[in-house]
Amino acid sequence: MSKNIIRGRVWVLLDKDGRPIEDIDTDQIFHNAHLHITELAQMGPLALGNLEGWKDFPQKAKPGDIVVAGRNFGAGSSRQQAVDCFIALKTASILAPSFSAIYFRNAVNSGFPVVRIHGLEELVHGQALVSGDEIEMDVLGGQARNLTRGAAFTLEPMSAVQADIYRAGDLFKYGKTGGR
Amino acid sequence: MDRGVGSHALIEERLARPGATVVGTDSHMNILGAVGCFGQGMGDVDIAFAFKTGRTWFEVPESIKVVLKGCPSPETGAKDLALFLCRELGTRTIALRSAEFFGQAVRDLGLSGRITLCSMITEMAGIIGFVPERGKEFFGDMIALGMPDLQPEPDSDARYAETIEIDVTGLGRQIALPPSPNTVKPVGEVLGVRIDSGFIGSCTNGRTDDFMEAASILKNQKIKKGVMLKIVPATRRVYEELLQKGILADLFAAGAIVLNAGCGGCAEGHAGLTGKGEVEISTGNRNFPGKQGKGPVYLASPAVVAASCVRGEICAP
Repeated sequence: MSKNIIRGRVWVLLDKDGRPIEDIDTDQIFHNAHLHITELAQMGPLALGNLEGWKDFPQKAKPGDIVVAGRNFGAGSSRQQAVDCFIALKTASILAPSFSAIYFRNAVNSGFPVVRIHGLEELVHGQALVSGDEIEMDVLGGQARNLTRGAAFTLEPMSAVQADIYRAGDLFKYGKTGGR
Repeated sequence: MDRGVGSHALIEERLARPGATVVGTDSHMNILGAVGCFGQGMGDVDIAFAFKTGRTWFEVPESIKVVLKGCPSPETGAKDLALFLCRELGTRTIALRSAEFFGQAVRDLGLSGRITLCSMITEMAGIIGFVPERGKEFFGDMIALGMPDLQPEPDSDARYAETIEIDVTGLGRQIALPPSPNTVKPVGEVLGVRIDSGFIGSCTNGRTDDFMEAASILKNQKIKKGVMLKIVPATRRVYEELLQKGILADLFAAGAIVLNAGCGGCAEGHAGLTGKGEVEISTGNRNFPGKQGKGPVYLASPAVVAASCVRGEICAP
């Protein structure tokens, strides 16, 4: 069953100037050239494989880690692999100020918790959220805490449809419950 | 292999109709906004569920009203307008919203122009775009398709999350510089950039009108030696029209390489990719790093792509 409370180490995707990278598109997350791959296990090593400065992410990431990115994460194509590659790495969650519409749908349908984070620019600028920090968050309710630095921050609570599908496990499991 | 781009085929077959909701595994399914149909792109879990159950879910987006003031220059086409809006609206203003466009600049667009504009809503991070006001050209296109003209119109008491005005008076030809469709400048500011290849096609500019625009530049001209111009009709029907109207002959005589109907080099994985260091000018909708291959890509209208292929460098016709 899906967990309401997630605790893990964060990776904040910053550019070389130390700003959260915005508009990360699906070709940077999981490149077009690998779309023939259908085995989930083979997708993990290709995650962020075309994102400048983060191509070694799959080697650095551990199961349970949390990815934090800039706004409009997952722009571009409709490919499910851009979500699946993180599921393959057992990434616990992705936080961003916003997600592209289709990426958001794909993640919701897979029961993968993508959650909108409030005030990311300020958190990063104020060194209140740094790669390697341990955080704990209620992905349904929106409260979050940086355990390493002892500071609270907030997330956008899941919408009704996202929460329903997340609680059920994924879209197909939700469908079997008969929906509402 | 030869049917072409799905969203276009849906319009040609009158399966995507005004007022309908259509889903498909294409991030530019919102092209269907061009005929007043709600098109939603999906990944494989989403579409498998829709196939299996005949049901899906939506969160109704907010609407934003975008009013274009004034008239662009006569040579300015739908692609120039779409690129200009990509610059002005970025990926924030209409993000996750439904955008309704008003004003003479969009009212006068025919079906192909509306397809160009509506497809690039994805690059503006929007959900869907609609152009409720219609002019003569669009009416004619709908009649030719045998499609009912029952466009959804805003309610008289429609509420918008935001209304914005953008002045397009005298707007000229535009071009997107690598690495983003939102990095847009007037073509005049990037004249003379050497190119290795051109691409005319994609779901954004792969209609007969787009190739007619290119042919008007290329007729009795030769593509510069060493430059490859790749032509990819959006659908088999477009291909047939190009054959019947003699447009393909003009493009062929100019030295263009004609490929089968589909996405072509717009998405790496089909024919016509760029090699390392190869500079391409394309009518596609995205130029993110690695999207069309290893080379940097500029985005422009069919006329600008055609003229640039004759000169071997970026230029305005």
